[in-house]
Amino acid sequence: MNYSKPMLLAVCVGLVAVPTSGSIRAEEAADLFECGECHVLRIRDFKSRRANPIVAVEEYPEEPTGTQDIASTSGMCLSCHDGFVEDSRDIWKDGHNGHPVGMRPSERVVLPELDGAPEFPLNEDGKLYCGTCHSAHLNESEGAPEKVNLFMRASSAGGQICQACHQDKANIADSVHDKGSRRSKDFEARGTCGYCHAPHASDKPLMWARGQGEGNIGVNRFCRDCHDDAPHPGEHPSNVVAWSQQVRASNRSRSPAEMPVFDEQGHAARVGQIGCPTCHNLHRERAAERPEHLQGLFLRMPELVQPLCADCHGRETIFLYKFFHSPASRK
Amino acid sequence: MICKQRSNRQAFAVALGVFGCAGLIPADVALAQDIPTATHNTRMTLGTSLSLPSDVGVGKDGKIYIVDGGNHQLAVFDAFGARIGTLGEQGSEEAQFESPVGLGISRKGEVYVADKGNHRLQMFSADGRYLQEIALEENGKKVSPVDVAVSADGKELYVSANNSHRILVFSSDGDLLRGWGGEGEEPGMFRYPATIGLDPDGNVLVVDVLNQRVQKFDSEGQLLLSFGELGGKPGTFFRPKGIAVDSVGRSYVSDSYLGAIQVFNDSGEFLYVLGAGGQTTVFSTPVGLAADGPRLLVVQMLAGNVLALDIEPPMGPQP
Repeated sequence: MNYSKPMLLAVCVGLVAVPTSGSIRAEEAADLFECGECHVLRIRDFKSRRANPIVAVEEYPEEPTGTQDIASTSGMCLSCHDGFVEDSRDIWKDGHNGHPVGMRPSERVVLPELDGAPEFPLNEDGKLYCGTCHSAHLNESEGAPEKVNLFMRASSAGGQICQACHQDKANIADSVHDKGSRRSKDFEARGTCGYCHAPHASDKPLMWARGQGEGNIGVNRFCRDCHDDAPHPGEHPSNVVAWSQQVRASNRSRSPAEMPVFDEQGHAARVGQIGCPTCHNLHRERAAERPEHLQGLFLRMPELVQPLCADCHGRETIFLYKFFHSPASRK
Repeated sequence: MICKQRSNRQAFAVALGVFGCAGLIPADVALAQDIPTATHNTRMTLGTSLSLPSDVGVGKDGKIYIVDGGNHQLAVFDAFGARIGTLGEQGSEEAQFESPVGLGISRKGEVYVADKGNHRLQMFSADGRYLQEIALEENGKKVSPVDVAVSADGKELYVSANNSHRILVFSSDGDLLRGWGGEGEEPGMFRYPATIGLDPDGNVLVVDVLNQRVQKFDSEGQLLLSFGELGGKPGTFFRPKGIAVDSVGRSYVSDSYLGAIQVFNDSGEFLYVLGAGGQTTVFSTPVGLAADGPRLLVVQMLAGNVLALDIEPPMGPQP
């Protein structure tokens, strides 16, 4: 039987497009069909020792740790996504503020496993790459509009693909900050995380997908895109820098959990400025651990033991906070 | 394509291969000497701040235009490699671009840019003035142009349409004159037509990326010949992207994944690959090409620059 190349590719993809049913895996499908369009080492000219290719192609190990072979390297992705076939050039260009690739996952990231293998594989150097989130053999968007078919390893709905690794951000689902619209035509705006973060379509730090409001420092302006008319206690002066918990932990033995400070770009810094997220963590409401009047404020500290504020403002700041900042005390 | 005449180098390599089979010399080492190569010297390197450049062309007075796609603009250099200007910026207004890919230059030096994201061509004079836009549509559907080539008389514009897998011919006034192709792998069809080269006879050579071939048509769209297929040996391609045709009809074809640039004669027969001593030069993501007299301009997408090469073909008879 003769298959056209598009048909073969479609069948190839189609066979593995239903991973939840435990059907044929990518490598099994590749054995059945001609898949040399990406799996370059399946081409006889490169595979045979007697062949004489114009360029030698390095063989990448396909290891049980989940690292992928040469067919799913970033270079292979670019070979089509360079504008001549598909166009994803924004992802490769300098200054791209999308999801990091080419780096090892941070300590806060937990890579889940599926059937004993990494569900989101790293490349041969143990670093993030295109294939960590995408696979040409997967099509999770069945029934979704064609334009949102992005061959993702997990669904973006409910922040699933993000929270699979970023489990410390998982509590945002179904919270007041879970504003993603399932009906949006814009893929990046769909799902729990896509309302604020665009993994590939952002030109701002933190993959920020929205506009910015007024504020002293960048990270505050992100918050104030929505909280522009909410009552604020006022911004902390931007010329004051403070220690991160990383520094404070060495001389504040009773310090509570992290109260991050930020650099100009909005990233957590060792020494930096105090912003809205210093006290608030919208990714994790610890409401159940708090008195009723503190619930819904997304405060980081489970209790006011010796917060960052006390470093400069003294221990009485705890009482000041309680009587002046707490909504309950102002009633 | 197989070379009909065997060069001394090839004969030497075959002899090495025989000894190699006998266990004296590894077979792959012996055979690796078998590919004819054209040596090249880099005369100059253009661009230090280009972002994912995709195509290049040479205009009047030797001006060199580079599509600086990541910056959504055109970078302009003089003939000596000094940057002398920039055309455009990101946007959809006049003289603004959205993800441009290819360009074409008329004999008068007018510059046409395939403004892919805005579904149009934009035209600039030889001195960089914005002249007009040509909105591209076929049967009411917007066309996403990847490349444009200008006929010798400047009256016809050949456009590769990424979304319909067709070659469309527009008049310089923007009227659609004719078109051919469509998605498929049969002769005359395309799977992502990319860059276009015109030979000295006015024939149209189209890089057919995912069919891993180059198809040559007359100006009316009649298929004349095709060369290349998926592979790794000389004369085959993995990701062909750029094409340039020189004044004697030789075609230079870049392969962005393998990094090789192969050269074919006007019958589509493989001549040689750029390299030295039987070893292929691996360029950094080579895409758009331009032949300028004895020079070949090579866009290296990931390196973010353009190389101007002097080519010295290998000695001996060629097909």
